[in-house]
Amino acid sequence: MSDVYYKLLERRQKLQLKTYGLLCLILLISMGFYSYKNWNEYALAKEGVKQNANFIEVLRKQDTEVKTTYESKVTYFSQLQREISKNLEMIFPTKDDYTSLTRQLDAFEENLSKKSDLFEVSNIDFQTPQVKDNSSVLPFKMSIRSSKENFTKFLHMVESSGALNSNIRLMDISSIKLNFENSSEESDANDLISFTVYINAYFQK
Amino acid sequence: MADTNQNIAVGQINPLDQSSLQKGDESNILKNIVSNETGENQNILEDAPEIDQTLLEEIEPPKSILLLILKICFGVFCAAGVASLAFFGSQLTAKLDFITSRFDLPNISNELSSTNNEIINLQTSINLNRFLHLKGVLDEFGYIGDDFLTNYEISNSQTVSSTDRAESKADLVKLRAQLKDNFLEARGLISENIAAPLIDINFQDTAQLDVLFIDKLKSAINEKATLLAKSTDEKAKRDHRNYTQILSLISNKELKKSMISTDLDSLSDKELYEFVKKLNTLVVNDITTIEKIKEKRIRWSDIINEIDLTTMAVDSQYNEDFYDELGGIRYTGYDFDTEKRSISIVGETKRFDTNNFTMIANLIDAINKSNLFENADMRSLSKSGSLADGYVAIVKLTFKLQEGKNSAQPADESLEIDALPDFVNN
Repeated sequence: MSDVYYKLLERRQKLQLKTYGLLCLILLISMGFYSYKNWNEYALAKEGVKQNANFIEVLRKQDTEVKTTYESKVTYFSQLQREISKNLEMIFPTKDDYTSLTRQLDAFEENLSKKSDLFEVSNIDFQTPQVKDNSSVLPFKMSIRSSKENFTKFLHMVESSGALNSNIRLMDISSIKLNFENSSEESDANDLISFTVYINAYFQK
Repeated sequence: MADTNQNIAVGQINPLDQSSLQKGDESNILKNIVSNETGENQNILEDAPEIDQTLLEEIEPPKSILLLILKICFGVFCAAGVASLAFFGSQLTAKLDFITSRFDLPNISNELSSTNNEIINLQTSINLNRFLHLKGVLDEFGYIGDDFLTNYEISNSQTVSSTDRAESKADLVKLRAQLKDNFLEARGLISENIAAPLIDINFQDTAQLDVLFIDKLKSAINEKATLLAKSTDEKAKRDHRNYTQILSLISNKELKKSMISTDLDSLSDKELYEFVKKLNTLVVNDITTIEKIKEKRIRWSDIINEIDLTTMAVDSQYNEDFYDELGGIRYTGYDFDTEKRSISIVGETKRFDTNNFTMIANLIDAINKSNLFENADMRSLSKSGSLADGYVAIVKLTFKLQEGKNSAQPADESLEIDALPDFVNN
């Protein structure tokens, strides 16, 4: 009986040896793998923190430089924007502002009209404003009698209207119906043109 | 004493051997020894001592040193494993933050994340100021560009006086220099990277980083714009408009590509004119809306001039007041329609021979050969008069402006009279 017991103990001891050996091996491998993997991550993170700290210093300097450069110009940009807004208010107003437009057209007529070089606006007919994609439109019709030279000047005025530094309301010719009066036999009516022009004057939506 | 001897015997003899001796009671050798010496049935030795088996049960195999070492190793490994888990758990995850925060212990993962956030915030601040700057520069570019476009059109118009053309050409030189400075500044700003490198496994891809920084910048701008949204102050309104317009600049790849790939010095005035117009379509600001309207405008003065030039190619005395004496072409009316891009001209031809219809046919061909017009058509021809007084034929032509042609091309590309067919020049 005691012999069996001894052998049992001896076997148990051997089993323990194997078990502990195996456990130690498993533990060593798994812990080694886990630690190795995480150590790499940890080392990378630590290096990352160090690199980030240096990079943050660089960014702080850059931020200050960019801010300083912008702030040195911000006053100029504000002035420029005020100027643009002011000019825009003239050429591309927020409402149809047909009275200002009328005054502008009248001033243009006065500027062109001479006894030797005729430019007479006999009629201006403003129509109902319409809304388009990015803007609103005030259509109007003008009946004009003019010399050929002034007719061309009038076309140039409309074609170059809306230039930011011109202060002339943004316009666009939608249609022209034109008759040359030199078809008549009257010699003093030579080179005179009667035309009806349909114009779109633009304003902000 | 007997017990002591027994114990000694037990101690000296292996109990397993003892058990084999016990079996030897029956061996003949021992029997013979006992019988020969006494001759009687007397035993020389006392009875063999009985072995206390219970004592044998307490005997264990000797302790194994290897097992001991393994046990110690196991313990050490377990402790090291727990320490490793705790260390890496506290450094690389937030699972043990409740402990580390209590003892104010550093967490490398949190530190990395915190420094990454600081980088994001700083880069967003840089981007914000850079885009505000870019917006200002592009506004200026648009403002100067508007002047450049107007002057370019004047300098290339065939109906503007030579004085005005010369002034505009001189202005173009100055404006070009200003545009160049402005363009280089804008290009420097827009070509900067919007993203900063981050040490983060989730943002290893450049595209992902760009998305992150663009989103952060947009959020920062929206935040600022929201604060100003309801303000009635003029400056605040302007700033609000600026912020909303900057949003369209942020991910404008086409604008960036155009600016980086363009060498302003190598552009001719015409190419620069086209480039400014192209930028006006890519940028959103207060000026671009009016530029889009201008872009669609038709320069009717150029169109009328082109009709005159084309007519002169057919009738060399056109516009010289010799109509009554020598005949030729005379127009009595034009009708232009911008929406339909159609042109109608009404007039008459007068000939002191019988070639009125040839003249009209030549005029139709010349108009169709023009770079601006197409589809000139007149299929019903009639004339009246006599050889003595001259024949008069009515001209009633309708044609269209070619698609995309809203003005005459610059002088170098305009209609060349020498290039027209012979019948036109004759």
